[in-house]
Amino acid sequence: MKTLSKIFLWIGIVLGFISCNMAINLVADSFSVGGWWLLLMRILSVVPVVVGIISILKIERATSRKELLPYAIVTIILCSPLAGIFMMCIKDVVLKLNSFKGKSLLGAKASRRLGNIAVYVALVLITLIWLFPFFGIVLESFRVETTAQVSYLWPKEFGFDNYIRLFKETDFFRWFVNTGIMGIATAFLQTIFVLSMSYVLSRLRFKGRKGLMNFLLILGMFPGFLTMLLIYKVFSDFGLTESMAPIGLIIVYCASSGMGYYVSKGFFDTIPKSLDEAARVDGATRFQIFYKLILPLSKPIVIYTILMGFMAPWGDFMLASYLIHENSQGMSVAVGMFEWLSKTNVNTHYTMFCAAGVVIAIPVTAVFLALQKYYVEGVTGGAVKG
Amino acid sequence: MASVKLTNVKKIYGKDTVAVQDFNLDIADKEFIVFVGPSGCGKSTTLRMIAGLEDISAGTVEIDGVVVNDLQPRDRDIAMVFQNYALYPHLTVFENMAFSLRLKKVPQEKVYEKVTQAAEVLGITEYLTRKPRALSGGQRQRVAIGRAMVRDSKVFLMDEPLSNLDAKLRNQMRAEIILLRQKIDTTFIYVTHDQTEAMTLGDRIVIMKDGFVMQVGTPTEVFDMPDNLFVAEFIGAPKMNTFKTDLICENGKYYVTPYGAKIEITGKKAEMLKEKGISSRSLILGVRPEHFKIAKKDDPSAIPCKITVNEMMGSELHLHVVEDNGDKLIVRIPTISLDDEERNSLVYGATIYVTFEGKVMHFFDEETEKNLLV
Repeated sequence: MKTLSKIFLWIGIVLGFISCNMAINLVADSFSVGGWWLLLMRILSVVPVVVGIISILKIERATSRKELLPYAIVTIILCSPLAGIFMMCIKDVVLKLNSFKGKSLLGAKASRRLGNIAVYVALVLITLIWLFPFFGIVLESFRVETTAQVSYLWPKEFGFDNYIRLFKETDFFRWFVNTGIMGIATAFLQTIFVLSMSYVLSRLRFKGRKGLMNFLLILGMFPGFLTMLLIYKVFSDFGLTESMAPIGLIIVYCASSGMGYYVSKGFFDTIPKSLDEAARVDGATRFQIFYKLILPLSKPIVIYTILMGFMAPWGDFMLASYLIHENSQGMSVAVGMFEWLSKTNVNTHYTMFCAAGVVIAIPVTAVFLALQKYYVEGVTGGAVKG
Repeated sequence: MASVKLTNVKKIYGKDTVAVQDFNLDIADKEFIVFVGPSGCGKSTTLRMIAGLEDISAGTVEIDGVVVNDLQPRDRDIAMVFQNYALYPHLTVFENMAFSLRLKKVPQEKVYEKVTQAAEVLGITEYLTRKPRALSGGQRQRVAIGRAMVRDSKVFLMDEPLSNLDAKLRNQMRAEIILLRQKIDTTFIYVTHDQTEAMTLGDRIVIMKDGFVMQVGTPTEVFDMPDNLFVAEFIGAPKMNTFKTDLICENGKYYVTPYGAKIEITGKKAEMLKEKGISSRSLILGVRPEHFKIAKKDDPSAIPCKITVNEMMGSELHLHVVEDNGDKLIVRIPTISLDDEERNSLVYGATIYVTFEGKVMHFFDEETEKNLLV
């Protein structure tokens, strides 16, 4: 057997023992039984552990099919409740069984399928763990009985109160629109800046190109908020703070965005240069090459850039809060909602905060869903002979 | 349809990496010129300078009498076929071919007419709606040629267009390019590393090495009268045998003495030697493999050698033989000239005697490697 399978099996046996005893405790508590019955159950719970350990050792040492078969069946039965994780172990046991002469227990196809099932079950488990917080937020947002944090998950009463309060009693709609405008403007401008920059660095050769690239790389390593003080000073002189902060923020987000050229430049570099040359001979200008050839061929990266630009304002807090100060008219969602989590507000605003979280997820998800179909792979196939 | 003139064209990369050195060439209208040479000889660079894809470091390129040095490729009115096809993968075959016409804002009916016409000539009409990735290598190459054809440009440039195809397809496409040329009837400049392509396609061949032009001439000229040792060895397959030997002038008759044999020089070559007034000297002698023949042992002109490799090509036999000094020669013998017994005796390790006739030799200077008769 593979070492990994063995480790899994040992862990499984220990976990099985623990969970078995927990179940016994639960039953004993619920039905208030104890004494001899509990002792008997505890002793019985050791049996599968012993059987499991014996099986593993026997499987390890088995030299013939006859010797192996009963233990293999026991292992498979013991493992079946936790089928997902232990499918690998079962597969290993079956493989060993099949290596002896005689009729195979499971064919090659079936054991491959077992492996696949194991992977899928593991992935589904991980997905569930990942999705759980989101699920929790959605449930919180529909909770009506209280506005504070509670220790249980499932709401006692469902309703839209939080959403109604969100739009009636707060400036959330204003913040939402502010952030939406910032998102769209940033997505549009930033995409133009980043892609032009990347195209130039990928295709044109000019003096200082390497130096510029290195310079931008190093400059990008400094955190953006180092310049915050200066940005505030300049922007407040121009009146781009407080209620005008969204415009200021758009400028900040887009101004330095060209420094994020690496990803798309890397993508452009994979498009054969001879396509550019063919187009130049065919009579195209540099700009025509860019938008008739390079952009359609780099759809995934264009979409990626748009998404990144659109999402940036929704999550930015530090710079935004600094420029906006405390002007509710100019707030973005992140800055506005932060106030709700303060000690004085959290008990009255917590469920509303969750509702706002759900509302914010809508535009971002919608944009992503609308654009994801353009994530077509292999668009460059057949261009040149590699 | 235009003439192309290159005057002292030079390409220098960086500070002193010279890719092309003083390239001079007059290409007549409707001529088919082939640039040939080993990789790195600057042939593609020269072509790309004509196309405008590379800057010209020095000298001038003229198309139809206009200096185009500083013109963008799109202003030079040229069409080019690339080695790796360079088809636009997101466009259909039709749109690939129509790309240049669309940029020029040619009316739709005209575009349709031109593209379908070119597709018909190339036999790709049924693939017009497909994307390049759904085509085979040969079909892609046709599309690439078609894309260049619809341009009706002054000069048609081809950069190793066949080198990505398999041997059979390459032969077929080569024949088709010859036919195509009769149909298009414009000025062609064709780059290849394959001397067979150069010989079969070109009206004139430009042979290059390390950025220098070694010889310009018709296929017959470069084959019969190579300017120098490099051209002699590059053109012809298998390559020409060359070896050091002495030229002896006795009583107005010329002899060479390769490996102890004595062979009299006859015919035109002898006359040319006399005209040039060349006296006894040592030189490099070049003899093509097909000019060798098997000799009798007691023949004074026979060179004894041992067979190391016997390549049976079907219609002919390529024998790699080693002379006593260790010099390697290749001998090419038509199978039909051998009877069964002779053929069976030509095995590894066997000693044979070879000789060649006096009228087929080439003479090169030992130091300059120049042809003594040019």
